[in-house]
Amino acid sequence: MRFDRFHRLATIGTVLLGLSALFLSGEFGLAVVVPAIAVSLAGPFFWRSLDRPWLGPASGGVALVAGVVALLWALSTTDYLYAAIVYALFLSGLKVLFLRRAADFMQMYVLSFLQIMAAAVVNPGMSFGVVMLPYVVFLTLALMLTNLRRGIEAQATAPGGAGGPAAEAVRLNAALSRRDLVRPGFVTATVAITVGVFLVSLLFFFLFPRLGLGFFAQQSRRGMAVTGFSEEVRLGDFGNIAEDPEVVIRVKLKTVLSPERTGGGGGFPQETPAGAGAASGFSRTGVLRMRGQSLDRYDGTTWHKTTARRRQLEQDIDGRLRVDGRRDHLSVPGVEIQEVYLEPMLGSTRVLFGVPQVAAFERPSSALEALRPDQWRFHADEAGDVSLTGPPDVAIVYTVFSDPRPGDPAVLRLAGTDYPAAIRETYLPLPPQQAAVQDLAGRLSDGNPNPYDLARKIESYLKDNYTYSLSSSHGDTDPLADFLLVNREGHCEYFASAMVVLLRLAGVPARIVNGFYGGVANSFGNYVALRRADAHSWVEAYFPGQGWATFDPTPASALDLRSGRSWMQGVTDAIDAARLTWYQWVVEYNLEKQITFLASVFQLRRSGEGFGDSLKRQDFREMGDRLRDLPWSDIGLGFLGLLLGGAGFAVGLRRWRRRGVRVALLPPHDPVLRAYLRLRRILSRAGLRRERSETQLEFADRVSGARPEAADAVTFVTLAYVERAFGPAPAGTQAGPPDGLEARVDEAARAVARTPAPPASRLD
Amino acid sequence: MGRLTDFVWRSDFFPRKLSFTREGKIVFVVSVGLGVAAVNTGNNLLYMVFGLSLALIVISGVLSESNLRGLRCSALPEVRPVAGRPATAALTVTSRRPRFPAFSIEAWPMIDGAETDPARFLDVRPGESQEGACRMTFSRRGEYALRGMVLSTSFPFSFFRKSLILPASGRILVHPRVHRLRAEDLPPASEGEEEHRPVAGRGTEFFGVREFRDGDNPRHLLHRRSAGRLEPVVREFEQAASRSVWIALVNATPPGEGGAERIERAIEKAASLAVHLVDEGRTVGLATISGAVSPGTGSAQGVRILDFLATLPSLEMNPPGIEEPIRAALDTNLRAFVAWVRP
Repeated sequence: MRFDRFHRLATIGTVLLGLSALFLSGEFGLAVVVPAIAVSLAGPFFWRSLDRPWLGPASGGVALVAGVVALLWALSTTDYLYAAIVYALFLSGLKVLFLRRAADFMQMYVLSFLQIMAAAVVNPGMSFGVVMLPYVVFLTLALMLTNLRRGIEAQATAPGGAGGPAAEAVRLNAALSRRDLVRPGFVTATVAITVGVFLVSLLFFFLFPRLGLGFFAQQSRRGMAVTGFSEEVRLGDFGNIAEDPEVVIRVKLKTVLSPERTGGGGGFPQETPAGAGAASGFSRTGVLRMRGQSLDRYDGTTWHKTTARRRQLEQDIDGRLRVDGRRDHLSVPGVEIQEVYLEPMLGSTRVLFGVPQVAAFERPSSALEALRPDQWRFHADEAGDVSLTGPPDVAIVYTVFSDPRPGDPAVLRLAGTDYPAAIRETYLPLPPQQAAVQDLAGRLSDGNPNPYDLARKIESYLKDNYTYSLSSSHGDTDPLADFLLVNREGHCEYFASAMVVLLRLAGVPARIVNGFYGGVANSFGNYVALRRADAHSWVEAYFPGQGWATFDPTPASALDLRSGRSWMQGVTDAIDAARLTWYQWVVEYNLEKQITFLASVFQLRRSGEGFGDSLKRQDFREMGDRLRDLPWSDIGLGFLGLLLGGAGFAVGLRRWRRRGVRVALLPPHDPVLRAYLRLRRILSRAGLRRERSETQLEFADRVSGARPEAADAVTFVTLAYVERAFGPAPAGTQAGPPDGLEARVDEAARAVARTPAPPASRLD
Repeated sequence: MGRLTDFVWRSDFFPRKLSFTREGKIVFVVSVGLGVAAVNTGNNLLYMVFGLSLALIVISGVLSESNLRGLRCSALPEVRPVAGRPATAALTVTSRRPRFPAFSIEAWPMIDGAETDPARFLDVRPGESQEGACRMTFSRRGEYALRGMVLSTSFPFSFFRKSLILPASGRILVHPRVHRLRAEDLPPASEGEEEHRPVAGRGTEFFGVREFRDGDNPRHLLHRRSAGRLEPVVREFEQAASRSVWIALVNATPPGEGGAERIERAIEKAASLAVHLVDEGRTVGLATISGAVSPGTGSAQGVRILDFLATLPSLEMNPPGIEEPIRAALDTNLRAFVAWVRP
């Protein structure tokens, strides 16, 4: 391919990738995207048609005017970043029309690099990473080609060349049309260089100290809106998100969950995570229930949370935050531990999720937490729901400890109905219900004095007699009565609300709970991914002395359908695992992870098993101890040895190179050189060494004076060498060595051996 | 900064020289800005882009080093440049590398005080030798020291220019400028030539009368006329046209402003005369206060005179009788025409 064409194609690739990184953020409308891409595609090949002398200054004027407009726009909207990016896009579009000389191409790449910088701010998604890899390839290639182009231009327009500007242009075009410059070897070298650039980039990325600690700002990405976790939830809202596949929570199980525990006896399918029999191993249809928030007051159309009074949870001696202040939850056998990666959500107060019943939380990175001005704070309300306050739009990783004890049917049947007053006041009131609903509650509670069995009966009744539907509609006046008496189909909120109302009508304290149920076991990342579509409502009923037990009246078959794996699930899983890795190891990479990473390199701590990979004070102490225990004296000696060795090596190398330069006068195998060097060794053993200031002939004269018997032989060999090394015939073209050369060396050796060395004398 | 750069370039301690290109300066500034932004915001993607820019800089340094490895540059051939006029020298770059071509190589002699336009080599393949033309321009005549041969590259990204200085030494004589001479500046044509233009000189035919100058033969004084004009006047004789010409250059700086410039002009005029006369096939000698070049013919004589003029000092003093050494040299060949050149 012609050099010019290849270079322009590489430029188009670079520019388009820079634009892609920006546009994949979704911040720019088609009015910006389409013209930018069209101009970038066409511009580099249409520049000749725009090559008019007056167009250059005109484009400068246009850029200036556009700059003023962008400034005014930024000042009026105060969205400075967006205005700056759009102006940079405009400049890029303008520049791409005038790519003539190497300097134009370089300016284009600088603009493209600025776009990548802007994309780093507005596009934290994995698409940025996906684009970065080819961008590095194209940018490296384009920069190398620009360097060659600069050389071509310099050659073609060198002063003293024949002809005027027209001839220069002809020479330049001819040189730019060369096809022999870009050969497979060049492309291969480019790829190798690209790999080098990429690896060094990664090295810098991971090792550059994250000293910022987010004091000025923290890495964030846009939070997602998830309905159902505010203090007011209108009946029917969940139906809107039931088809959304975006992952909200990723859960790694550190312990085995029992099927009846996660399901709470309420419709949890048998193919539970526990079936896999390993903490991190899931069946491919791993199903999980993650409790979020309970709502207690129902006004006929909307659920409200009246137990909003919160208290801050304090860390205990183990660094854990206990929801109810009791330590015995965690000492029982079979405590269930999950590590949760919670995607950013809108709002600064966020509900935390865990397998019921949640006993305690643990936040990673406690050692460096104190340094942050924007600390996370955990709160528990009167209902035992846990929320978190902290910076918005930031993903959070935490560990949940769940108490396995509640939920034993035999115990719950014997719990009785002696409810505390606070429970009665909060979880029994209802708005006036239609008579038919009251009749239904009465019919279901007939002959069932046991609240647990009543709850089971209502649960079964709803499951068996009502249909799960996302598209059903119910009136605004009394949607629940419509569901129970008329429509008889609805989604989980209707089922759960109906059960709570029926239980309360029967005198059993109950509440609706919103959370997530289902999920897909991701074999790539060994976690369960819960999507927005997995948002779910169920019921908790109160049993004196036992607390809250979980019931789920939604038909299990419907929930099973939601958790089904599509034929594309493998691909989706891989993408989600990659996205999680991207978020954890790139977007959310921080000083703690950096230290963890280095610690794992030094085998101070295992890593890679959880979302957090966090370090605690104990780990720092351990690292400190190990560092102190290192054999510093040996290390110092080793370092000194290395230093001396390095210096010796450098000196040796220098001498060797000098030797190489001297020997380069003749090839090392040259017979005359070899004979002369042998003579020098013989003389050296006899104490006759050439001084640095002596020429070979001066040395031969001195030897002749000191050992007259060897004079003839030494002079003969020396002259042969001098003639060979410094004579007019170029190296490699001389005739063979003179006859008897080696014999002369032998003669000199004999002569030197016969004659003892003269005594050293200062008077010499 | 400029002085520091100059020091580093002149220093023999550093065998490699590294300097930013314009693009390199931009990349450096952008990288620093990126680093500050990344540290301030904690934005990891900015750290990533920052890492990319640093990687480009590091790889650029490594590759430019390897791009120069195994390259040799031929010695600067014998050149006799003329001041103010570009001189071209052929340089050969040889790659001794077993594999991988070298890209974007430039070669030039390292000469203090000379402007050089390097010989450029787009790609030098393994084992290949390429010849390129290097142009050197010297603003003034004189003797310049060759400090080494420079091999340089901005490959691969044009961020830096890395240069390797190969040992080389030598002296370069830069001849004074040579101008086209006006007719009145030229000495008379020799005998047998078609045109004969009488000029004052050492002949025997009467040419005219003029005021006495230092160095005039007192025997040529016209006493009666001197008494009438109240100043000494002498007879002047027509110069006998001759094939031998002495160029008598008074290389003493005249007093007053612009003296140095005037002496340079005088040297250039002497050089121009020498070249012109040698081209005419005449025997030309040069006599100056600082020494002389014996008369001779042919282009070799022209080069001898120009070499002599290249390093001819301009004497700072100008006492009476300073031209005596010149006259002493001229006395060795009394038949030759003498063309005086005074600043």
